Amino acid sequence: MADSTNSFLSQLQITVFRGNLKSVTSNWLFAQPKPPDSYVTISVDSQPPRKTEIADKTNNPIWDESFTLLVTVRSIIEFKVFNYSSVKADTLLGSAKCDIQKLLQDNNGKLEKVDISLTLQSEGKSNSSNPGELQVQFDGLSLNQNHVPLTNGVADPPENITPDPPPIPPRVALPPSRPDPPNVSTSSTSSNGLDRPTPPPRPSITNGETNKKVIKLRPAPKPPQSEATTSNTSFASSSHVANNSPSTSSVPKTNSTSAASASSSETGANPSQQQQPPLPQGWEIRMDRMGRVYYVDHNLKTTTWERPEPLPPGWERRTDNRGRIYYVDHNNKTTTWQRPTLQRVQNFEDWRNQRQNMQNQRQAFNQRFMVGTNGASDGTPPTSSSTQPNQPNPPPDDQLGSLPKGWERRTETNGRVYYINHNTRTTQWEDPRTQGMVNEAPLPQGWEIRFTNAGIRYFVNHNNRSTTFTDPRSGSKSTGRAGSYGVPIAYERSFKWKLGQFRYLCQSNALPSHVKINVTRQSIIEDSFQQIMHLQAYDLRRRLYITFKGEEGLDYGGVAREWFFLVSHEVLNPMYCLFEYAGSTNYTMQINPASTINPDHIHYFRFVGRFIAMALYHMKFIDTGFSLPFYKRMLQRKLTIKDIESVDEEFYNSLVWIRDNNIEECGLELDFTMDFEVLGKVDTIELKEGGADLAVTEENKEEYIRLMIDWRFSRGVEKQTQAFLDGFNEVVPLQWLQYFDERELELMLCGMQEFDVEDWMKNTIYRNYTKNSKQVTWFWQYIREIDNEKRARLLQFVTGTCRIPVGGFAELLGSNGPQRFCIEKVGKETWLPRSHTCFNRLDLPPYKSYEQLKEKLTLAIEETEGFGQE
Amino acid sequence: MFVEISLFDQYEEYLDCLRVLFFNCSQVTSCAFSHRFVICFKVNVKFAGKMAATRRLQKEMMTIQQSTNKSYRFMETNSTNLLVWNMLIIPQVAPYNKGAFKIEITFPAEYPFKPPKITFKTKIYHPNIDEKGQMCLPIISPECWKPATKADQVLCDLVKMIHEPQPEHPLRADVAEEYSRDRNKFNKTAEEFTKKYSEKRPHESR
Repeated sequence: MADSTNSFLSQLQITVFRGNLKSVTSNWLFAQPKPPDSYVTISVDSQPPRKTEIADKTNNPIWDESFTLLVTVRSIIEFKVFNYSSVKADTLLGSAKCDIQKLLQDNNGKLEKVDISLTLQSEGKSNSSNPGELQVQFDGLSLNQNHVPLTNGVADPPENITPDPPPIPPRVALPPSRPDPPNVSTSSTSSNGLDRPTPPPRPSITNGETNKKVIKLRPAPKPPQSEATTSNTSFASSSHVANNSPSTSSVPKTNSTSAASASSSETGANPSQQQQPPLPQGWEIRMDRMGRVYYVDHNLKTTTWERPEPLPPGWERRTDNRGRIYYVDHNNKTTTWQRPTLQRVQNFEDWRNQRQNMQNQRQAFNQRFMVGTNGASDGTPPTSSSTQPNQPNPPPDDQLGSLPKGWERRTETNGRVYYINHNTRTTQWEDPRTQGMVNEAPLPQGWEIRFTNAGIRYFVNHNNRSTTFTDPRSGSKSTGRAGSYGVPIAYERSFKWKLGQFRYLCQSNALPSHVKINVTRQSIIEDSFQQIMHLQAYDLRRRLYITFKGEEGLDYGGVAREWFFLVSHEVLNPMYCLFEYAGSTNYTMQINPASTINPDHIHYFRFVGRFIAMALYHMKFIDTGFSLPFYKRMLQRKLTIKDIESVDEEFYNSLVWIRDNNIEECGLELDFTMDFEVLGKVDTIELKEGGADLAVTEENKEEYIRLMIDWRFSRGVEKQTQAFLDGFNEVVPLQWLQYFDERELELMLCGMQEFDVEDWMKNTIYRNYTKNSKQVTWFWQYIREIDNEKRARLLQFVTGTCRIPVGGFAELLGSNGPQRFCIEKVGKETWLPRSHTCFNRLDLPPYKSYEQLKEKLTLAIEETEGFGQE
Repeated sequence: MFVEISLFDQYEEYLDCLRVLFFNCSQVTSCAFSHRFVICFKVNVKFAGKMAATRRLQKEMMTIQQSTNKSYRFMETNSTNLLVWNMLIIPQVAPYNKGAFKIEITFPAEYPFKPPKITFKTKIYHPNIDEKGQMCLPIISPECWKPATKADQVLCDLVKMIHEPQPEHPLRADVAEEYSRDRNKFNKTAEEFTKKYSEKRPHESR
């Protein structure tokens, strides 16, 4: 049976604790039964035995000795208990046999501190008597799954349907040079049929603890606090993490049968799936040699560890040209290797709902997502490595000129064109030359952009089911009524659409596995800087696993969120001299021209660029935002005179005055030069060549103003801005952003300005008031009556910022982390309301009437800016 | 015009730096960053470089020097740091007409896109000028500033404000109240202040 070719030896530690033995009657006449001088021998497969010490004259011997033995799965271990005799040969009191295979089956494939009570059998004639029992423990047997010979076992499946268990865990070792996630081949894709047992691929996790992976259940349900957003951005990668997480591998050991253990651990962890639906047609449930449950799909002749569920609505299973199975989500026009379960789809829904909540739209669904549900799947662009050698492609005969540096155009086997950005190791369908460069106005209702196989853009009109190459936007200028951002509603919808595009790009360029960042709170900037700059930029697209030194805990997103908050808070702090307030009345940030006092400032800006890109990529929120002109600069949008107003009103006024008045009459003595003072040093630059000798006149003042605007925003910060953008671009290619405008970018990074009063109410706590107190009712009545601007001011009065976190009021942060909006009863009715911005707390005196409350609150937020704050 | 000194260079210069640091704080920009300690400070040296505002400031300076207005003049006619003007205000009206007052006009590098700032260097008892010598002069306030506004207009406005205090927009509420309620007492205090703190009036040379 245990032929040497497939018997791999593993270590097994056996501890013989104690026995419970009957007294022995010697063969001598008249001898009374007396306790034996017993010892135990252990032999594996009839090899020379190991012995314990002799326990003198006791019926309850305690040996407590451990032996390390080499065993195979097939091994039979025989325990024999002898009675020592100094005079003649030792007599055998009893023996017991253990079948390792049986034990493994009973213990989920591993023997870790398994206590067994062995009933001894006496040999030969006196088998009527029970010689006693033996307490032993088996420990430390961690069988590598590869080494389990796949011959018939207890479950006794006929030879020809011995399963080919899917490789576990899924291969995740993706070479970092591969830019695209579809390489993450998962279990369900490798099928060798059912007829021939083949050794499954070696698990490629490198931590060596193979015993952890022997048991494979479905991916652990996400812990309740786990942030669905992160875990769902990349289905493929995140689920690997989940598979390897301790929660999955630590299967209850005490269950006697593996089937029970499998189901009990599932149900225990995920009550929602207690009621398992019947298997789909053509599926069968089986158990492998280890007693593990797996599922056979006779339709496709594949096996999987995961219980098959019918695909969620809108999903389709497909096979790519290399025979790999993938899944198409027609709802969101994405693809994934991962078989979608209801759980994952639910998580994804949660994530998307959260995003929608952020935009505070009452519409439950984004129309654009729904458009084209029946359309062709929009799979992820192929990886550069998987393409056939039909590259390099001759550039297409288009009039757009050559691709940007580092870009390559390739064609998929089915003829569809895609683009590789070698700079950032990403791929995308969109042509980088056109993407975002065109001022993308929203498409009319019911329209959709598609691309032909050759990559030519065309438009689908779902209203009358026609297609055209003509852009429907060019003709009519449709401006709907203004939405909550003061922009047409169609435009807002388009933001969602753009966001979807951006998320899609992030998702399809996600990398598997995770990246660890370990920081101390005291030196959070330095630690983060060192580690982020030490990593390859694309590593930062992996799932983040952030830990604070000395603080245990898994990062399900909460820690990452705090990290983003803290780092952004610190690095944007003007004290670091990297950034400064964009204006005296403005709490947004811009690059500080005096950052040069830090000799390493360029590296730091590169770091900040990477960091900000990470925030966008991982959908996290930063503490302080940048000025709108700064976002514009990121998007390479043209700056206007209006942009100056938001950061420098005096300068703006002067420029406007010059624009609107005849400057030749008043002796301004301007030429095309400008001075700028940094750290007491004044530099003079020419706005254009020869500017020092060129006076500003009525004729050329337009040009002068234009040059002044550019100069105003770039003065002293050119190198810093470039370093920032370089760092950003390494993680998130700037092309990805060019769908957005600066307000949308701010919204993505910092949250919104629109108020969801319901959400606000829902996430407000009360002290010395209750939800139903008169004053509280009046307060909300007041909030409903006032407009958004006043709400913002009130929020600012109480929380110190008018920004609401992306996640809504639930994620409002105080000085010590999350801090809900709080209304406390303090003082007398004659007092004005006060606030404690550190605690997001409003001290609301018990006013006697609604009018009084309204008056006092209005006074507090309008007349006395900063009054009563602490 | 501006000198940057690394402290590790020379001890003497270091001391000079500190002197400037402690006694002329408004003109010193200092930055400590890790082990590198760099002090930048402004020194009045002959202006040689060509700044964008040069032509305009030179012209304005000339206008003022040629002005017939007796109420203000340059303290040093050869003051050539074009961004900082030290001037003397010589009020013609009681209770300030017994002395002269030093002021400093600082022009920002972005002049004339940004207005100049004026500080009284001599103590003055006036409802619109505070103890630190700061004042609110509408013509150079951010809201009213126009690039076409000239320094001589600013000075005229300033002299006018000294001659005619505006207690409705006080910077020192107590002085304003005294000015409105008890003019005699106000005049007396202001005169005492002038006598005690103000500069000597220059001889009428023009």
